[in-house]
Amino acid sequence: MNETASSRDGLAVTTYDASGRDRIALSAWRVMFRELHEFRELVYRLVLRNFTSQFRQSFLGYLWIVFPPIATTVVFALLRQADIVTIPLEDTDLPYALFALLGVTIWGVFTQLAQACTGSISAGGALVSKIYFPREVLVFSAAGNALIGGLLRAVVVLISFAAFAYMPHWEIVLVPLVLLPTLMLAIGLGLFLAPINTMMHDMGRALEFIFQFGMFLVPSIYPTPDLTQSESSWQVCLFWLHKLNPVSYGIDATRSLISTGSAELGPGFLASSVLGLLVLALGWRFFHACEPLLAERL
Amino acid sequence: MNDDVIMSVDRLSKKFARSLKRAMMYGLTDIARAALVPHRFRSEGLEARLRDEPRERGTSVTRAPLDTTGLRPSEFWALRNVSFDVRRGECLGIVGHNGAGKSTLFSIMSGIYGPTEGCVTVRGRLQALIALGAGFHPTLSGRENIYLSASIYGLTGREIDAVYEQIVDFADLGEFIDMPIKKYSSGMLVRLGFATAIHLKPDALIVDEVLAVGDHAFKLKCNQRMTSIIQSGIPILFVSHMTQAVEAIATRVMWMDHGRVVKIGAPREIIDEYTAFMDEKAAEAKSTQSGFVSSDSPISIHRVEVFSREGREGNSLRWKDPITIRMHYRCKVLLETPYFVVRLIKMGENGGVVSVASMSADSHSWQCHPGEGYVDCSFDSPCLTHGQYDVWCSIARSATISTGLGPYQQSFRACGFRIAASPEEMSLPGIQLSLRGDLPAIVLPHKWTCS
Repeated sequence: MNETASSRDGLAVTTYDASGRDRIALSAWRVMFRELHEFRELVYRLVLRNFTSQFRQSFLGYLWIVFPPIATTVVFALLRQADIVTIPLEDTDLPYALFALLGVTIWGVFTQLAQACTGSISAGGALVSKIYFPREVLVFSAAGNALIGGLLRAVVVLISFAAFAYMPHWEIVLVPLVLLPTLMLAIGLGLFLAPINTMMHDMGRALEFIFQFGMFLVPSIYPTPDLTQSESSWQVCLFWLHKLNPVSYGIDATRSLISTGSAELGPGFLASSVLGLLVLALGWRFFHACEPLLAERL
Repeated sequence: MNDDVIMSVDRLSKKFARSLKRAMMYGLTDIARAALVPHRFRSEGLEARLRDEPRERGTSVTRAPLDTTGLRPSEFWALRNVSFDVRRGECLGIVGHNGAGKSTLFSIMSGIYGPTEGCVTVRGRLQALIALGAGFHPTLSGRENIYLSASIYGLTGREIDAVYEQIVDFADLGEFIDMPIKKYSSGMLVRLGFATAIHLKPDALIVDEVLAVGDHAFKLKCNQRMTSIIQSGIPILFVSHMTQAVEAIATRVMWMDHGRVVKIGAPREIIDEYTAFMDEKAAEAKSTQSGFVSSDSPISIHRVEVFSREGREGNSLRWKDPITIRMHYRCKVLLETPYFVVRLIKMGENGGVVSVASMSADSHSWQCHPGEGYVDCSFDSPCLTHGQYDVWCSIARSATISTGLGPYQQSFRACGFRIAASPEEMSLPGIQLSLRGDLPAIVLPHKWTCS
């Protein structure tokens, strides 16, 4: 739909036609990367704009980003301490608060990322319907902002380590690496859902709803049930829910890197990595294919 | 593509859906198709049709029955088979009623919407001066917003640095440039938006009425800038409802109506036809409002026609053609002398009432029998000048003053006609004629003496 070539006098020739052929063709990959490269400056400026303007009229400012995981962690630590809920914690030397904070933070980053990407096109509606620029820019800049939020939360986690006088293994520096599949999955999901969300705003709400309850179905505030100790069918059920959720692997790998200095990257982790990469690639491709439809369907 | 052609629009069509729910459904299916169905299975038939369809150069305003080929329920064509080229140094003016498809056309040309059919080719960077200040963020300062807005248009940081000072100079906002723009007045916002957009080194421009903004000094500055841009040979698409402005700037004009191109041609010619057409439309709209007939009125005019000679109907007349205005009436009871009144009004800048013909003034008495009939009012040798005229009719009561009752039928715009007279015929050899005619209805014979 959007071919660009250079003519003799060096002016780029842009063609918009109805076929959409080259948005499906294999060569679209080249276009996608080139556009992203050309507009990297805009991505950077939008991230900066959103970041600096987000809390310009707020007293607590960026603290609002880090409150939710802290609050959730405090509540569950309290419930557990008061023996209202029983959460066994055996295989790890992490204190429960840190254990939960890690899980909740990673889940939070994942959901924030996916939700921000999904809603990015609708949120940038005024811009999208007025000027042409590669729409991916909006998704990637939303992702950038969500990742900055994630970094702020990571700082809180590090401060908590200090507060609990817990010394993580140095392998903690590898955490971003094992979280990569999770992040790719989130952005990929966002790229898939963003075009659909421009038409059906249900998408954003559905995600919010699913993510809210999804937190309890990953090893966030409690560990995956150990099937060697109990054979209750409920536990088996929960075990498989965890194992089938690709985000679980990122959370588990992070915890074990921090507490033991090594992570067992089994077939499950590998599968989740492949899935993350696949969803990102297909999602971006899908997004690119329906990009010309976005403005008129807002 | 010829190197001189900067923008080329080829058989462009675009459809939209009226209903939001349906638009949503169509959008989802379109997305699924775009992503899943390979191109070769989709538009085979469409391309074949496009190949066969000639590249139309204009249609008539009174369109053929609404084109519904390829439309799903509640969809309509916002643009249909639009083709034109714009070359280096050209300024194409576009006129058309609201909703004629001008904005849709611009959106497709700047890549915001994809075409449904056809294709658009643009050489270089096309800058639309439509969405001034798009991408501005209220809490950022003017300075930050210049950078943001420019990078949305695809400029790199170094390119923006190069023009930044010029933008600030042009906008001339003083120290306000560092204030968040939500505190700006609307005029200041427009200055900033225009200054940013105009300095982004476009290779082609789309201008949409933006020149009418800001205070007088700024307007002058904008106009100077636009003139220098036109002189530098950058092609421009110019849209305005102020037809004089279009006529002054454009080198060619395109008239659009309901998504189609009616005509492309010399500015004066097209604008004349367009304004004459719009005048007629406006007058028609007026006539439906007036022409009030009270339900108990015994007589009313239901149809009026204009012709020059019996049997030769038509609203286009030549110089000094006799004019007959025939008013068909319906009468319920026997009436003594209902007074028919005819007013001729010239349209255009120097227009106004030309003549009033009234039976009461002429002391013309007659008897009106129940049933249908017509009254003719003839002008045998009117020396009316070139231009567009309106006919207004009414029926007055013979005893209006004594009874205090209103007229049988109030004055209403019944029809219009056009007089085409050459400058020589009117003995005004030096005049430049427009269809609408800015001459007064009558130019008295006169002579000049200089001493």
